Amino acid sequence: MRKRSGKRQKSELLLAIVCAAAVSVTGCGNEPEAKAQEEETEKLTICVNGDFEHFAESVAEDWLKWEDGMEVEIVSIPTDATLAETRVSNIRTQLMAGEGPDIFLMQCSVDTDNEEKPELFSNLGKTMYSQVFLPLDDYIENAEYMDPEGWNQTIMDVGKTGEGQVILPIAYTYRAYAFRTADLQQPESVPASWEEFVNTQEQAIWENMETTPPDTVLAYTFGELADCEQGKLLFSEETMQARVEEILAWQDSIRQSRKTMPEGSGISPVATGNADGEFWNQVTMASGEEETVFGLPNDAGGVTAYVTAFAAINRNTKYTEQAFALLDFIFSDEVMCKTGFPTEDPVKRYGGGFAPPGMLGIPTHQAAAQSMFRNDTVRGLFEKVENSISHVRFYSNLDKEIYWMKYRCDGWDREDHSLPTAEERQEIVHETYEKMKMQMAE
Amino acid sequence: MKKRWKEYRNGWLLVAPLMIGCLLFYAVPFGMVLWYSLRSSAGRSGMFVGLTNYREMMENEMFRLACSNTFRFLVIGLPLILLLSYLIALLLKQQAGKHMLLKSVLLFPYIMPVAGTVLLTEVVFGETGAVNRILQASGLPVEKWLESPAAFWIVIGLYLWKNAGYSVILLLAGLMTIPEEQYAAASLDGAGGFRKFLHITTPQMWNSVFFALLFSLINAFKCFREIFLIGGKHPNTEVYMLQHFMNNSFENLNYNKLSVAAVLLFLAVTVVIGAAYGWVRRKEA
Repeated sequence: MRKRSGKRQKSELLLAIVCAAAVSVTGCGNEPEAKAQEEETEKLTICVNGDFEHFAESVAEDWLKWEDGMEVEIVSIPTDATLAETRVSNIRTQLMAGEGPDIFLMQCSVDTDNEEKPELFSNLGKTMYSQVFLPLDDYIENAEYMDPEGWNQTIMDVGKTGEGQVILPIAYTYRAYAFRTADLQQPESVPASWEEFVNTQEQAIWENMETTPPDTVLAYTFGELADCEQGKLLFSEETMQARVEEILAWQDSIRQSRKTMPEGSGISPVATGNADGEFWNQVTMASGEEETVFGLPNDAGGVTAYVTAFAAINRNTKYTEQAFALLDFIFSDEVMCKTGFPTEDPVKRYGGGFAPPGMLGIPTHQAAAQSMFRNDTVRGLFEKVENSISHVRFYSNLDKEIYWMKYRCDGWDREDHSLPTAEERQEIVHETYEKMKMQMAE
Repeated sequence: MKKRWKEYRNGWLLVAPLMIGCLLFYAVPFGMVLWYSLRSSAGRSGMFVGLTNYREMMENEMFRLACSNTFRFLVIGLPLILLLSYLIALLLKQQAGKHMLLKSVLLFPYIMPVAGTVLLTEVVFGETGAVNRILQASGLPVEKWLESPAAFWIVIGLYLWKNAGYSVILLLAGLMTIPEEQYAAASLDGAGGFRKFLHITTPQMWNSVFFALLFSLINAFKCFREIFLIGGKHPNTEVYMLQHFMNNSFENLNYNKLSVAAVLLFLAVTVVIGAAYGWVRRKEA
């Protein structure tokens, strides 16, 4: 009996050891040393995408010379769709757990080359109301360098919710056209609404519409697109249907007119496309002649602008003060206008020499925007267009849907590129509208 | 007491790793989800808001659409799959020993990879699929089956085809445990096929039916993978399921909605399974 009891005890002991080993190999614990080290150094994480990686690295490097005891880690979302999916999913999981990057410094352009590429914020306008971002009003009021009065308030307002400013737009753009005034038949009455634009008899305008393909401008023709807070579209399916048919008819008439035009008789614009540094450079270079510049009008009689880059702070960041200090540094006059902060070395300056990538559009910082212009005439043209901005929004999945809807209505998704019939176009528009409704209502 | 503990100790030690894993990776995260559903946002910045999120969710039209579609799918799919599996299991039992290979063949759709199932669905019901080609050849109008309301019935068919085999195996195992002597005795007493089924087979099959129901319910939710691959994040409104809503809420960083949907789904499934289990226990008593 004693022998049996001893054997039994040994087997029970072995069983207990096996169970304990099974629990311990689940890897629940980090190495204590590494964890302690991690906790000692405060690390600010900045999430970037697109062209912002280099800008973020440069500006963070200079900022760190001022701010002791901090480290900065840049988390970049890759351009490759598969890699982006993994990274974006990772960040979303972190955000759900109340963690995630401290600062978001990101572009929000629509990647129309890649329908499936995931975006961290597929609809930033909606995400603003999901309590992901930290309200910044109190911080802005007590900011050391930021001067809100020096920002374009029309653009800045798009980043406000009931809680205050949650997103800081960095740059924006709109569709713009610049012609020599002499080339226009009626320069004093350029189209002020979408209806006037699509029915214009100005040869210079409709001749050059192909330089800005109608499928990329469709979203700009809408004033109101959606109420992100209520989760509703602000236009009807019939309106979208009519808009698509208008653009297709317009495309067709341009093509027909081009066939009858003698070669070389066309009017070349000074510049067309997204209003950014490059656009205004071209306008400046041609400023020897009188020019007329206007934005693509929307159906509400104004111009629709899109925010192309923004900054925001994660609501759950542990380093609120430090995160805002970095944004304060970025939005300062010295960084935005590339003049830099003085140092002991009279030659070297912190934060100068780089600014957000110029191809993103027009800086929201007004002094930085004004510095794009070398003469008062062009500055005057710029201000005239700016005053016509009536709607501002962020690029979102809705714009992507509109782009791909137009793409399919043109038959580009078909092997033979044949044009869909009117019924098929109606079906395409209906499917897109339903999808957009679902995206907003979720 | 000490003797009882000594008796049960080894059992507890054996299940301890699994229990700890379940606690850490299921119970604790679910507790966190429940907590998030009562707050304004995830993480330290959230405030307790009670049932506000639940009230808002009930007013959300996409959530209501997802719930009604999921409910419709279950109400139609579950009885159909149980009925179909039961019939096949009864047929197979009669042929026991004659067609051994048939039992294995029934499981082939179940073990088919999701991508393969989706590909097959596209080949049959896609725009240039077999069905449309037949219709075209017959001079009938073609249809975008997978993007139309008919997608719901295609998904039901897919669910039945893919998962019936698994339920057949469960039910067949239950049928094989019923002693043949009982049927023989009933035959001697003059009972026909239906009476034998009603008074011998059915009372002894409740447990197996319960487990078949349970696994069919699990497999019904797994059907989301095929629906997602066929229809994307925003399929036709007829096949927009609760998992679509939850997946999209995650992508939109709307964790409140995601948490509330998860909790409500858990409650609904618990109520259904609990009711079914209670029914089975009553029948067996």
